[in-house]
Amino acid sequence: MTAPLLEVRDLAVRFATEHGPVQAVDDLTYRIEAGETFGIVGESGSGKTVSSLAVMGLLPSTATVSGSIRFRGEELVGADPEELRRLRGDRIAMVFQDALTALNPVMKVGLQVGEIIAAHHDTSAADRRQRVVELLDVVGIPNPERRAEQYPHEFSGGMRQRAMIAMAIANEPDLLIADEPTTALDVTVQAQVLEVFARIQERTDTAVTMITHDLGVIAGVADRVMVMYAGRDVEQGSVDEVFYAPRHPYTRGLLASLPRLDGGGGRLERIPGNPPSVVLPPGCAFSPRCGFAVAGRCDQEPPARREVAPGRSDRCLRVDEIGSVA
Amino acid sequence: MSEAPPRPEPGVVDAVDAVVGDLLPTAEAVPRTQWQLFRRRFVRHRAAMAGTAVLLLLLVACFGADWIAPAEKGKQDLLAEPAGPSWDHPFGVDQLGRDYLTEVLYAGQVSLRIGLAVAVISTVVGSILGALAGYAGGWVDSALMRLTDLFLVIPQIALLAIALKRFGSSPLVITLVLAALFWMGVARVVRSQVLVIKQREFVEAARAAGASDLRIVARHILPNCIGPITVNATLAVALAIVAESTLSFLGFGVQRPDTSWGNMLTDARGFVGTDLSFLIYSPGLMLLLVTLAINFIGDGLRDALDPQSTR
Amino acid sequence: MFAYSVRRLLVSIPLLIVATFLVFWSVRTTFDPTAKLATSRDSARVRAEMRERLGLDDPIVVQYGRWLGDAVTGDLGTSTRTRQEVSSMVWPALGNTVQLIVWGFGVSLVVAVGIGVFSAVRQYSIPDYVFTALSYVGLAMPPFWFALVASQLLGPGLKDALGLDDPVFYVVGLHSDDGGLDLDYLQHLFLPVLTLTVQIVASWSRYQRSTMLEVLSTDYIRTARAKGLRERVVVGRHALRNALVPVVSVVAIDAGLLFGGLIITETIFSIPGMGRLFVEALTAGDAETVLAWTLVSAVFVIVFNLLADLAYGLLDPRVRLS
Repeated sequence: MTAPLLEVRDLAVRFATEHGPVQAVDDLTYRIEAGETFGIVGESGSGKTVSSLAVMGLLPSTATVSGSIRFRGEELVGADPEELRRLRGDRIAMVFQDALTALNPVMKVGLQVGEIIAAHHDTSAADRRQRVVELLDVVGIPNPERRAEQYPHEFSGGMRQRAMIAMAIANEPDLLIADEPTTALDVTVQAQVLEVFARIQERTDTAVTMITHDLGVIAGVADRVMVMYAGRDVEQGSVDEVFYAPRHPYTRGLLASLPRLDGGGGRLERIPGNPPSVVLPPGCAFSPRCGFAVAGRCDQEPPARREVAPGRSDRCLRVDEIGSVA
Repeated sequence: MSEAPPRPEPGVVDAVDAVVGDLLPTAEAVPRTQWQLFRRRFVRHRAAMAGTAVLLLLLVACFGADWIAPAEKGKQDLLAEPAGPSWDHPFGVDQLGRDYLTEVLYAGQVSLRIGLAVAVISTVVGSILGALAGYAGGWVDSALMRLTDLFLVIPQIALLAIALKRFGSSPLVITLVLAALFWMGVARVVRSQVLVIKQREFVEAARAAGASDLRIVARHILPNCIGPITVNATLAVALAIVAESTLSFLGFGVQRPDTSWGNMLTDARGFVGTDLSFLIYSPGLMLLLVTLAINFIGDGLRDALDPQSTR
Repeated sequence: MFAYSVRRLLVSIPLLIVATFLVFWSVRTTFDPTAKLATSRDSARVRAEMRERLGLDDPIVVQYGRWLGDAVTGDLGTSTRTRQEVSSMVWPALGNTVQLIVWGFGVSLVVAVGIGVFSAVRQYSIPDYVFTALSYVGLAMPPFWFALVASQLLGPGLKDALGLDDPVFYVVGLHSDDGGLDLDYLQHLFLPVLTLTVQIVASWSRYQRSTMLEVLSTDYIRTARAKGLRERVVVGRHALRNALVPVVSVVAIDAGLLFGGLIITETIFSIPGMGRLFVEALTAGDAETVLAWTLVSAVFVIVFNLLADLAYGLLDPRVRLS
């Protein structure tokens, strides 16, 4: 079996804040194979963005990272910053959520896209310019030559997002991390942007990490998915497995709260309670909100991850007792 | 000098925000009044406390000069040799044989009095006019803005100097002239605060309940501006003192035989490069200390009054 | 953007007129040009004649109009104090003042941006704390006192301490004898420019630091790092460009205010510039010179505010359109 493209093992990220240490990610383990689309689902504060920033090496100095992140066999945690810089933008690239604030407002878009190429390859300005126009075309921006000379505020939301994607794929990275790429866009534009991702993956063998809270997006594009809660992974598996046979109560709650197009299902269920706070209760982080929680067990023992099959895992003490939905 | 620590990543912030209050075991269950909260925060600001101590010390020393000063004010001893600081004369003896410390203390009364008076007058006038202009909007507001713009076109020192030449330079006139310039800065700040507050729902609610405009401004809007107004007023004291000193130094402010720190330095200036050059230090040092102290207090006030503060 | 600037300029003109009128009125009602003749023989008649000649009995607005009309054509009147043409006093003085502005400004800008950027990039380091402390002192320091102390310590003080015959730094004027851009000139420039710099740098560097800190925590800086750019490029090309924008406009506006600050510096260091001219003229009751000074400095302020607007538009493309 070939080594996975990205292997994250026991990743933990702790921040030093003025209110004391905050554990943003804990005991996170997952892997991504070359060419696959891996979805990460969770609410705000679940640690999904922070864990990906850890992969990129973009966390601030107040963050302490422990565990292992192996990319193509190379260990990234504690690696030489210069090494990480070389990988960033070249082998691993990231697309951020709000393209308006993520692009430099005083610099032309074409220059910003060209910059990522110049940072990692020796090219002439003319070659770069050509490549930039090609990239803008690939992501579906009309009039790419003209657009390259414009500033970000002259682009529409969808176009800005495409420009960000163009930037990220410029060096044909092995792994593309997309952090909520469609959240800031309207529904029709969302579909177009996802189209772009699909097209890119057709052309190159890029693996994509799709981070989102939108289950619909996952269902549409991902091969495998990981559900995160309070900084931990609570369920992993193929999209079919997780969506049709969810095991963890949180996943089940998420899926149950989705409206159904076919009209059936009656009243929408919701997950009671509030998103996890900084100070976690002892035991399972989800227990305060879990309909299946048993006092004395779930709120005392923190559950460990259990792998029931290769690539299929969950983190719940009662999962076998609860039975599956399907 | 308190700096906020670096922001954690977005996502983490949401989780942190959710329970900030309940988080720490030392969180008080007893509800505190605004005043108590404010006092606690201010006291924790070390620089502000130091500034307060220094300022109080200077105020007591200067206004208590009748009791504290080693010599009589203005008493010249023409037989005494001018000399640098010594045990008998902590600030030295000046060219007319006067004890310099005494002179500095009495001069301080003038400068401090003017500074405080200017701050109070300009704050009161500026707040009222600024609030009215901000609330009323329309031509009243435009008029205020144009008026204040007028006085930004010509350098302030020049304006003040010209006005003092025109209207005289007794301490009272100096106070009024400085206040006449300073109120405009206050008015602009208050006006912009009011513009923001005006939009808030509780103002609409008050209006819907039938409160008159005057009542709204007085009871709802101004009290919400108290924070910035207070901070500004504090800093204005220092600015006014320095302005008076500068004008007095140039010869347009406090005139002899009255002394202020500024005109003491005018005399001292002539002794640069001579044995009496030590005369330039103490009056200026007083100015520096007062300004530093007030700036620190202003900082502490700003932090303590910040409603966004989570502590 | 261009139209906006032109509009601002047009609005400034009435402001200029009203402001200078206020000064005109103040000055005319304070100083009586005929006062000097009070002790001469037959003073009543002679003074009345002079009033007639100078048009001093006309309504104040008419007098002002006359003055403004003359001023606009370059005739700034004749000083009753020195009997010279005011313009012959003003232009050389302006020349000297401009030298101080250029040097003071240039040095301050470079130092302030340098300190501000450094402090932001190395936040919480020891140098950052030192700079912060220094800027507190710099902001609290009364400029005229700093000038005095500096002139004592670095002028005669330094000379005596080193046992020299000539001072290292001069405290009077801009040249020892004839002009020229030589070491002597720099030795004269040092203290006045230092005085100017200290106060300005204290405030500009704080502002630069805070805008830089804001910029460094933005999403687009994170994107720049995510692209794998070297930190040097992230700070120098991306962060600085954005952080300079608000600072430049503050700087340009302050430049207009420099005219006032120079009054102190020139007085203390006896530099024959506009600042000292103002003090001498006002002290002596030389109305014409005071008025000319007011006009020139107001124009200065307006021009610099305009430059600030234009600079903003140049640096920030979002402002440019329409």
